[in-house]
Amino acid sequence: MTIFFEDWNVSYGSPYLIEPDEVSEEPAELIEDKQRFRFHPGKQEGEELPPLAFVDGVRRGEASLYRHDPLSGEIVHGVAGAHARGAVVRNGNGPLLFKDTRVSRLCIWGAGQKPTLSPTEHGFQWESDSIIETSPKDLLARLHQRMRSSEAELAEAMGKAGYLTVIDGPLPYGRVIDVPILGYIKTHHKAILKAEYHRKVPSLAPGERTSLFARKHCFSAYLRLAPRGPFSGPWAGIVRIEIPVGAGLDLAIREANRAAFFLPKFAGVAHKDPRAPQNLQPIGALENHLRHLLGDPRLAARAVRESVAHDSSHSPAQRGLFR
Amino acid sequence: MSGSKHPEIGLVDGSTIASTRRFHVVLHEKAVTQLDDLLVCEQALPDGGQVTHYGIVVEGTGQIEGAELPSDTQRIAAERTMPGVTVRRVEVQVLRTVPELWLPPLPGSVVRRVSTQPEREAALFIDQMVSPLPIGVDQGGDPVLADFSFMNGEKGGHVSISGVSGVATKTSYALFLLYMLFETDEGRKLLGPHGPNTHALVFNVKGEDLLHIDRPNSKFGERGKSRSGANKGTPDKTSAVEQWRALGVENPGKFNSVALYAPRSAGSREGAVATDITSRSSKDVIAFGWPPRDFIREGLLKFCFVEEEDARTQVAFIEQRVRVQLARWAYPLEYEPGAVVLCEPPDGTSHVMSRVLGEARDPRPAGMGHPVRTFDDLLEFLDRKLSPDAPTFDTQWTGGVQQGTCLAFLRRLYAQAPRLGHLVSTGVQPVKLQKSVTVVDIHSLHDAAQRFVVGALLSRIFEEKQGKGREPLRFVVLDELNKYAPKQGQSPIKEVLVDIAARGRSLGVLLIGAQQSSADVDANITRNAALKIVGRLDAGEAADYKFLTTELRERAARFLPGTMVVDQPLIPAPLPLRFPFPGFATCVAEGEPPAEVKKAAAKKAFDGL
Repeated sequence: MTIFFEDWNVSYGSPYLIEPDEVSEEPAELIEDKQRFRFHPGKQEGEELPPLAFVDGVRRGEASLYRHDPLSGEIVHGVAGAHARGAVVRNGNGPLLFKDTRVSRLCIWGAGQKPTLSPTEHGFQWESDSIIETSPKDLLARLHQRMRSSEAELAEAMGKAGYLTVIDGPLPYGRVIDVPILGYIKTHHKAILKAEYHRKVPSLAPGERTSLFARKHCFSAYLRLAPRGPFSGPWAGIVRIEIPVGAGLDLAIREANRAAFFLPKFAGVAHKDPRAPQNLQPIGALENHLRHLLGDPRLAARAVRESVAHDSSHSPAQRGLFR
Repeated sequence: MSGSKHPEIGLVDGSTIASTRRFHVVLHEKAVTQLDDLLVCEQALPDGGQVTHYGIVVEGTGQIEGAELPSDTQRIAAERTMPGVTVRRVEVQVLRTVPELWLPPLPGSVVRRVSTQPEREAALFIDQMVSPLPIGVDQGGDPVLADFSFMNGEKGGHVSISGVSGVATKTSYALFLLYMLFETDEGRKLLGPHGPNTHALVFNVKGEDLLHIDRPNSKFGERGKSRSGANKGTPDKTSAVEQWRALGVENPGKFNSVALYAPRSAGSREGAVATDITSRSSKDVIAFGWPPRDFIREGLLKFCFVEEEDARTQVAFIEQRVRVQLARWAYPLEYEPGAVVLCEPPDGTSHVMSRVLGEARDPRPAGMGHPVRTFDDLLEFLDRKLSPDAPTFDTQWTGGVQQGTCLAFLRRLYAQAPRLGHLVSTGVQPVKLQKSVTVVDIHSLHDAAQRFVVGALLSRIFEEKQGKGREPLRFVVLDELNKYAPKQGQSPIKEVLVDIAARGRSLGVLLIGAQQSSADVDANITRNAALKIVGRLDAGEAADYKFLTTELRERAARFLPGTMVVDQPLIPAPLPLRFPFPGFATCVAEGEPPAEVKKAAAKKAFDGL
């Protein structure tokens, strides 16, 4: 047994979360290389890469809300928050540019309720949404879901526009996607392959990928972004990619080869990013940029407060209550 | 200059504070704006009013947003693996707010470049100027104006030019100002009916350079042309021809009304009058000096004692006594204009200088006393009167000072003899301001003699103007002002200069003074200058120029010749400007005809043989 050092900052946990005795429900089936487990070096596949797009999103709960019924004493939770999504694109060898960034503000309520918040004069406005559950955790999960859905929408649009698109995180589940966009997974929760293959994954060289295997609704492969540091764990620098089955196997192979070719170039830089090298440079910068676009959180909280105060003073019921 | 408004160049930055004095502009991607550009920003006020800010660009900055570490620049710009947004900003100093409301520009407002003539006139307060005079061109080749009423003594007067020697082109700029006044239509219009009687006295302190301003500049042809090789058809605004044109001068050339004076040569034999000037023929240059009679009547003895220590001792006291005594004793020498004969005046002759000078005195023959034709004659006479051990020692001349003081007085006077004695002689011409520009060469004189000449001439000009009104004006161009009116100490010349600085405005005696560092000059003089001009500064001294912005102080340390900054009362910010290569010669080489002309002349002469 050897001791290794986890390269990710401790506050981000570990990208390798697979329990040693965990048994995968059903090991994934290899579907390339005649069901043999092989390593493939990345390839450009053609003279030039198409324009690239990296898609990501961020979200933030900004204020917790309650709705109180003075007659029944019932309290319904709500959360006001924001999510943003956008892309970083590169044409040819041009500079990387932010594109199609969008910020949405939501006010999500539990128990199927859906009251609205008035927009403030400083430009804050919230779209109302509702879920059946009532816990604040579920409300935030809904915010996350909305963000993912917005990301997926953009990724598909970029893919359709001819971009070789990478979306941060797994491909959206339950959507039919027929363009070859790449899901990009940094954290490994489960052993997907048979143990004998799983064991071999760390011996990937930088810029190499494994044979494709079927994984739920997509083709998937592991690839190594960067060489292992002298004390890094075996899985350091290994990510998993996903390609929608709708792309077809031939196209999927091509995309996987390309991914292994170009993704390592964008690997995160250790002294800058606590999740390097898995967190790609464009994704890291995009997250910062999107977080910046969400605006000052104190300002956002103040806007919610203002809106609530405004609505209360204009509601006859509330006026009656305060009298 | 086009009549249409320029498109917007950016927005007032909201990420930093915009104040009533300064703000930042985030530039649009395609906008190009450089230092000294004039910008304008309009905003609608909540009360329905409108306010316009005019400003000048004082600094430009650029940054890649998203680059947190220096090495990110490589990733963003070269490797292209990380996104970043390049932003460029300029910092703007507010020149004017119209109407005069003390409000900052609104963050996020659109900023445009000042483009139309009315906008430019508003930005630079030209609409407020009573009598605008072009004093240079700006970065864009458009004229920068100053209000002449701040130069002619009406509202203000005096010009102070500072900068290190060699590259600051202080004298050149002073001459450029004179050229704009005396030789251009605009200038003549400002001088008005008094124009022909307006005179400038220019002291030449470096080489024989200024003795050529009455000649066209032979280098103007090549320097006047385009230097940057701009496209044909579009005029190159950096060429001297275009710069002059912007100033309203189509044919820049020589000064047309010039008198050149040079000191009588120190090596002259007694009675001979010649100068040491080698670059001009003797008929072009007048040998100046003071006949003994003028020396005595103008009381110039005091300018022989201008050392710092002279003011602190009793020497000044005995000098005063001797000065009056000489005037009392001096009678015109028969048949020898300018010479005097010193003989005892009748009892009851006043000891008040003005009364003595008011007396009508008939010439007397040499035999009646001690004839004085040169400085040495004077020295001999005074030696007899003041040497304590001489039998002719006369307490009437000593004013009762200690014998040691008499000796000190004589010792100093003897020391001055080889330095300035040759300037006092019969046959020399006193300097007369008859032409527009009178150049008095003092470059070859000893320091003491330079001070003597400057002091003597300035005090005379000042005396002449007493009680005669402001106009016609007298301009005095004096370089190395720190030598004549240093910050520390007292001297008769400094008194004259401080007096001119303080009262010259109302008397129409206006000083265009130049110095390496204004901190070395008496503050009364620099403070009174309405127009402050700065060329290249010594980096260590730049901090003394409080009227410059921090940025300009740093920039001034690396100004090229021909670039100056002007600070004038009307405009609340100093403006950088350039002045064109002169059409008059400013050194020996420029005064000579071009080689081909000389060759042709030589050939013609040869063919004529």
